[in-house]
Amino acid sequence: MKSPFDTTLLKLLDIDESSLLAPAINSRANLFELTEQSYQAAIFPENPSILNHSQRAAVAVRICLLNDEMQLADHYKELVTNEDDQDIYDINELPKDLRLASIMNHIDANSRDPKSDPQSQIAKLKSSGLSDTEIVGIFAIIAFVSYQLRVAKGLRVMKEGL
Amino acid sequence: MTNKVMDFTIDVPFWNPFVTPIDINTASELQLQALQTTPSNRQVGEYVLVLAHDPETLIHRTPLFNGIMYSRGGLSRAETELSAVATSVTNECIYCTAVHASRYNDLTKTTSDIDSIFKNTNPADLDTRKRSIYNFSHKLSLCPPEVVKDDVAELSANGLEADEILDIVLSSSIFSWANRLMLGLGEPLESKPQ
Repeated sequence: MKSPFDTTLLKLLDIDESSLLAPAINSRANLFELTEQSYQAAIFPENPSILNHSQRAAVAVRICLLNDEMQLADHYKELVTNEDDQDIYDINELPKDLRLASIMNHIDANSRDPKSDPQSQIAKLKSSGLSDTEIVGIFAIIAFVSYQLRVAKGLRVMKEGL
Repeated sequence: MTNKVMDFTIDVPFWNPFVTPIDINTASELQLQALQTTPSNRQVGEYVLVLAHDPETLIHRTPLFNGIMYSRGGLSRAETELSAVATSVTNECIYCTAVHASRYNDLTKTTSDIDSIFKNTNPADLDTRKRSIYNFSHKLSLCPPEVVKDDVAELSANGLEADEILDIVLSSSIFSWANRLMLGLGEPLESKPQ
């Protein structure tokens, strides 16, 4: 198992062994390792299905921007390797591609207010031709990034407040 | 015909998926491996079979969830559940709230805190320590999150140490994950449809 301080999130937040938070983080080292593994699985899966790795990173940027999480958004922007995918994280406009637009519409709704008419959201994704597996794959990205950005936010305020 | 549960309750509803769960008889090796991780409650069958559509994330998600909720040390089990309830109430996830509010009641052998939360989602009746946990978890759950360093100071002032505060961050955050799956991929019903 790698040190929790070598994981993507803690490196990004500049939290190392010298931090006041280090003893608490070390006591939960396995959870930071699982967070890293979840990050790899959500953004860089071996079987990316409907969204490739660059598009997944762009989706993560979009979710971070919706949550005012600029540091993590900047990290994900660096992982968007296809310039065309930058449309995905324009939160003021939906992509021109109708299928992608439908996916982003869903991502916005589930990120902002997960209780908002979910059955209709699923129906729209299905009518855009998405399979159940593709739909669950999209949820997996939204849910993971929603978790990750809150761990980042929580650790940041802990650094400031302790 | 079975009705959708619309109000917070401690009676765990049936979670009815909007997408078809995988068929375990035709599951891939990776799906079967992901399904071997321990479910966190007895109603989870349909839910895990839905999540198994994406086994690469499920295989890590379940041990992460269980590690956050059930690891020894740090925050007490009851207070970990309180953070989960605060997040689930904020996101209005009826199913997750029911599971974790009932666990909180079992662990504390009380019902008054949950009654207070269900009556008023800004529960003034909680003691100051519990209220600081509830408020921090609520603010972290919002989109965008509204938690600030003064909320950490409030937790510290109520006797919570850094390792306990980290556990609150993790519990609330994992429910920002879980609620989005539960709310988006299915609905809580009074009972399983015939």
